[in-house]
Amino acid sequence: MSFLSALTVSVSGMSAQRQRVNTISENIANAQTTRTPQGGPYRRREVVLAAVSNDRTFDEELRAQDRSLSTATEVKVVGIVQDERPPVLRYEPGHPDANAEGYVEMPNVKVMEEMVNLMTASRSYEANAAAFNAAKGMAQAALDLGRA
Amino acid sequence: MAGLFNNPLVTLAHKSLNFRTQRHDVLASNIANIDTPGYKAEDMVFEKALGKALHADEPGPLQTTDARHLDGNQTPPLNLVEAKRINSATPFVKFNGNTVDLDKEMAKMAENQMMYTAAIRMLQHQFRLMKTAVSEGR
Repeated sequence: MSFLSALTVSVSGMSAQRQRVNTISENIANAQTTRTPQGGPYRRREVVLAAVSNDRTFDEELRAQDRSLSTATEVKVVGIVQDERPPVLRYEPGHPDANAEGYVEMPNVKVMEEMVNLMTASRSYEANAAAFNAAKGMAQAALDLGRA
Repeated sequence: MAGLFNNPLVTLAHKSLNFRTQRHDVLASNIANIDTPGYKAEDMVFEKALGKALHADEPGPLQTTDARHLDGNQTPPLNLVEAKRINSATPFVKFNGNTVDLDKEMAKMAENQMMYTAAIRMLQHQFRLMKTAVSEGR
């Protein structure tokens, strides 16, 4: 029971980081996009993470109050928000989306920033995968006890 | 009273395995929440309490002259030891209020895993001894 909760916690971390990577890729892919269905340039997006105790029933919540049961804390993507920083103006009179003064509104994506976030996300993903494997190894060792 | 089946070492290993499993839960939660704003890293402590509990049936500091006297030994017996959940101390807090230090967590997890394996080995050994005893050494 406890082992399975460690596994789900690690999985929640992995899927949250994967979603972060997805959003970052989206930002990088749209770093030059000047047209969107909502109008205007693409706006950078970011995931919001929150710590949640696993969705518990009343009974489980009651039993979790027993201190001998550890409560594992999962992570969850609670939303994807738009970065409200203003679009970057670039002087490019030949561009079809240029305004009267010749400026084009470019997305507020900074590729360097995205790359840094991408690196931390993929490292965090690996850390969660390592935690998952550790839990798996421990469970396997416990299973092999009966074979001794 | 160390008998064949109520061996304190088996109880100790069993307790230790339980605590290590719970500690792994806590450490995995820390790693999963490494980017969660405001999350505070936690840890579990039990080693001292477990070590002390091994001496729970030793006489305490007070002399007793009757079986009903209390000897002042306040260590709880092994099966009543509980793990304590604490906030782990961190020298720095990230700008978003998160206190998870990845290197530290990975190191703790490796240590926890090794100690878990150690407890498993100890149990295996105890079981092998029992097997030898019940099969009359054959």
